[in-house]
Amino acid sequence: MSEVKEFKGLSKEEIKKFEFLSDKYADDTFKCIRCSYCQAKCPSWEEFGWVSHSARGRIQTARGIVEGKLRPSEYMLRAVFTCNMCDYCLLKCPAGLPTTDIIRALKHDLAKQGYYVGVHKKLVERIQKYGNPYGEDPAKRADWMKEE
Amino acid sequence: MREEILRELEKIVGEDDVSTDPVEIYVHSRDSALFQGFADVIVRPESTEEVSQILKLANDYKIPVYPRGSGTSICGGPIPVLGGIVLAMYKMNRIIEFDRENLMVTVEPGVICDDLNEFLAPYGYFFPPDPGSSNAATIGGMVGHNAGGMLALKYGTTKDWIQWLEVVLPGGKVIRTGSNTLKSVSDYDLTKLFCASEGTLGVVTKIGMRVAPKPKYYRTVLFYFDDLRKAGNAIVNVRSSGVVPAALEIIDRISMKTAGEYTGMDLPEAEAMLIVQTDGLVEEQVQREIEICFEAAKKAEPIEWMMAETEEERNKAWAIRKACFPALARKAITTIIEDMCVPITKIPDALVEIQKIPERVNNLVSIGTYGHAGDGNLHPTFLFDERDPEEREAFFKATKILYDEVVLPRGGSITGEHGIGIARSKYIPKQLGKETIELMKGIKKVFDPNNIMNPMKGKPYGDEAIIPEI
Amino acid sequence: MDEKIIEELKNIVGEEDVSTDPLEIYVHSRDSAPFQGFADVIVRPESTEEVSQILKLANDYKIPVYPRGSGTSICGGPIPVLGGIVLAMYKMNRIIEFDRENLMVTVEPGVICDDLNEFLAPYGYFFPPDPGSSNAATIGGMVGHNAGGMLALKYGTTKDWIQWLEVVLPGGKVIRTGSNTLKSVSDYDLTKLFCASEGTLGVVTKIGMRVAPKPKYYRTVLFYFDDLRKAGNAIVNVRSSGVVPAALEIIDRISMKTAGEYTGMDLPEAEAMLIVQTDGLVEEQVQREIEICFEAAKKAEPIEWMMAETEEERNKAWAARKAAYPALVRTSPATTCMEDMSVPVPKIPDALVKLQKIPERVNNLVSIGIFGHAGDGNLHPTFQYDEREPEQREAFFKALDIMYREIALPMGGTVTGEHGIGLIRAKYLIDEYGAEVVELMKGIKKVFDPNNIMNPDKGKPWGVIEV
Repeated sequence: MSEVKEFKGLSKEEIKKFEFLSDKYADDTFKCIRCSYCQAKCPSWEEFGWVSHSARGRIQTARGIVEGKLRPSEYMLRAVFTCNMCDYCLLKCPAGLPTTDIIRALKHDLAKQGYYVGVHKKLVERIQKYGNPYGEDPAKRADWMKEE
Repeated sequence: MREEILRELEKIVGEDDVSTDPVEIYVHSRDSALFQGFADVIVRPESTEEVSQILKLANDYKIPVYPRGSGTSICGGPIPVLGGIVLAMYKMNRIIEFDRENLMVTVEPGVICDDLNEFLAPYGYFFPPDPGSSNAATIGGMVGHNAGGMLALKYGTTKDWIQWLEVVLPGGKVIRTGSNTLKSVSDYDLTKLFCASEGTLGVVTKIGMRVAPKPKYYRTVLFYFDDLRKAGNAIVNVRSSGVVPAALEIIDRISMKTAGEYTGMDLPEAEAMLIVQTDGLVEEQVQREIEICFEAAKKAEPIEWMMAETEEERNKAWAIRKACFPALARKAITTIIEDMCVPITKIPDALVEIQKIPERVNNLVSIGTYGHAGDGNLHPTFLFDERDPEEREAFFKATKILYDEVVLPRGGSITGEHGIGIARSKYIPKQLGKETIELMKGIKKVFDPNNIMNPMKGKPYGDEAIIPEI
Repeated sequence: MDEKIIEELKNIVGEEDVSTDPLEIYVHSRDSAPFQGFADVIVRPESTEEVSQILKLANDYKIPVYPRGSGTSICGGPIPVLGGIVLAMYKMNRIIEFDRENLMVTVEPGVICDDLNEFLAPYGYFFPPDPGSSNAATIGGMVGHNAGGMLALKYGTTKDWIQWLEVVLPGGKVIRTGSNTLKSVSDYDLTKLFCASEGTLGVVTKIGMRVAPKPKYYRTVLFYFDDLRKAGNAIVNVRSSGVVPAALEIIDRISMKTAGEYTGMDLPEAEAMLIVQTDGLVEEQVQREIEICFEAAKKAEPIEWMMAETEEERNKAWAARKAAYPALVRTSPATTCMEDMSVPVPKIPDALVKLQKIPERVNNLVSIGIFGHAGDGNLHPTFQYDEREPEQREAFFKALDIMYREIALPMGGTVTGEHGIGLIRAKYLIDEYGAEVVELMKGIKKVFDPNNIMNPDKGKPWGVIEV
């Protein structure tokens, strides 16, 4: 058996804090039949080539949290947040799982407990400062119209 | 795993292609079967040379190696039950050559089946084996399990199209089996020995295969029967008609009902539905063949039928068959597709017996059955909740009944196209006998004396295989 | 051989079925290849049980055993090179069962191919592999060598039809490989491992196989080319046309000439002749397919062609092809050796040109006529010489070296498409696969036959042998 078998995931209490995931989508993570239909053309899979960075991997990661075998890590955050929510997996899933919703719930629950990545912080700062995530001056918002 | 081995792996494939992160290990711990096992490291080689170096290292240190494609298998085949290295073949996904004059294509094992067919389509060719998972399954995985599909009756299974293989053996030596020619009998048939060997003999790194001209015309007819035996007669009649249909599929009452509800289609009350399809390059032939099949099946007294003339009608005819699995999967937490083959004359009998299985396990599982009637390959699909220990136990009891009491006494095989892996390991001795298992172990030892290649799986270890806890 | 062992053999099969007479030993000393070897005893078992007892005995005393059918092989496969027991399977020639609903037939290995087809014909079925020797070849021998034939392009070779085998292993244990079902992946593919194993792993005692519906309609067209390359283009064109013809045969100038003289047919002056045949159950399809093949081949500019419409015309079209071998035999000074090589289909013209030059390289001490299954690249260069003349004999073996090492293998071909390794192609095995694969094959042999009693010291899997 693997020496990395310290798959000590989260405790029951900690899992409960993944509210969105455990309340609404716990069953769905088990319903995933791991057919890989969602993986084959998943854009982040094509970019990174690690299963963790694919739709199949993310649904499995959600299950890993729910069944107490995985805990958040920097690697997990990268794997989860590189999903661009394109809904390709939703179209492909033969079991009809709300794949994007599951990933959204996973992102939400992670972020809510402080597990987010550097770029999130930057986005929040920009929104607070400029009212938009791009860091552009709100006054220039309609500049594009003047050029006509 | 020792740090120095990881360093050596990184040296071989580069740091970016080695991962020991628990998330990565976890997402590589399952295929589509119930079982789970954790590797120490996931490695993504990019060339035969890298695979060779990895297998030399692994052989020197006696570390288990599990080749893996997209993980679409349903038998537990690629699960790392003893830790070690998962050899993820994702990056070896090049279509190397298409020789249009010789009608052969050379690919790396990571190429996805549908991608290959998309590549071949503009030339008017296709690679006929069509597992249900063709949009994700890799050619390497298809070779490893000898994948079939709906077209197997007419076009055969994966091994019928493979001409030669480049294989890395434990220790790192690279061999090439078979021949570029269409026929060759100079070696023992090592090519077909590697097909369906489930990664237990070596790592396939290049695949040379034939392709077939893509049919231009299709005809489809659909039948409903109020009696499984009549449906069985229809199957025998069609097969004895002289025509080899491109597809001859059966769907039982439960699958029909579930699929009907799911698609919102209004289907007649029936015990079974049959779909027959012919294909070819000559329209008159395809038409004439479907007429012959139609007359043959009609003799078995269907209660209703529909001859699909247009493409729209054909899609409608196929809608139910294609909805079977998704419809069943939506009804339960856990959906497991089983795989069995019986002589075609035994299909009705087998279906009747399969439908009785849930009662025998207190209805803790339900079963919908559909499959490739033309070659006797049925896929009873079990629905239950794996989190409930009672249901889980009922599932294992049900599969034991399926294989021990339904399949084997009817001269059947416990797997037509999905493989042994972990799921069917304990039923092999009964089908093949101890002597044959000893021979298979002997063959494995010739290729893999240190037992590092996908070790302790059902093939060839039978009931000695390790079955991890779920 | 120890009298005691002969007695034990008699106890097993009965006195009538054991012969040590020099005449019997002599007539079992050759197949169709130019090699000879003498057994100690010829035994005719009648049942799996008898075969099992013989293999137990042979294994205990480490006596070589050579399974043999009709001896039609052309590679020296069944020749008893180390003495011992020739296991003549003649008496195990029953057609055990024809399951019409499952379309499977079970036979013993001694059944002759044509007899099986005669049996199947009234039901409308046939067993497609059709070696040239089908009126004598046994199914057991066809399994052992994985026989092909003219129909292989469309219908595949023997192994494509075999579903399961009953095999007796050295030591006498009986196993059954494969499955009665049309698909099964429960075992390593032992069934196909035994196919083409040339009797080196065990003795096949029952064979379960599929049969195919017999075609009702045939169409044949014949082309003559003044240039081998044009004929080569025609082959590639036909194969890429989308149609898989039932036969696509080629005959070279020398074979054509010999066959023309032999049959008295007036054939045009040409470098090659191609025959294309389509078959099937639906007349329109067979007709349409031959038209597609015709159009495809015509693009390669044949100098003449003939579309055979009636059965009579079809027979005429085939006459030259069918006469190719008998004509070469009749015009040979003494010895006729049909060789077997396969190249990728586009390499056929190249291969033919080079093959025709071989006689010059051996001082014209041999001559060669070539015909073969162009559709799958399998050519049968047929050598004429006199084996009693040491010089000619030497020239023949030198010609083989040239053919396999300088023509077939460098073109990505194989040294045998359907005849097997046996003795004659033994030394080319390593050239084709390398020592590593030969070692694996030896390892596999050892698993089945640890004492090396089954057809020992043959090319498969040993590679090099001196005869």
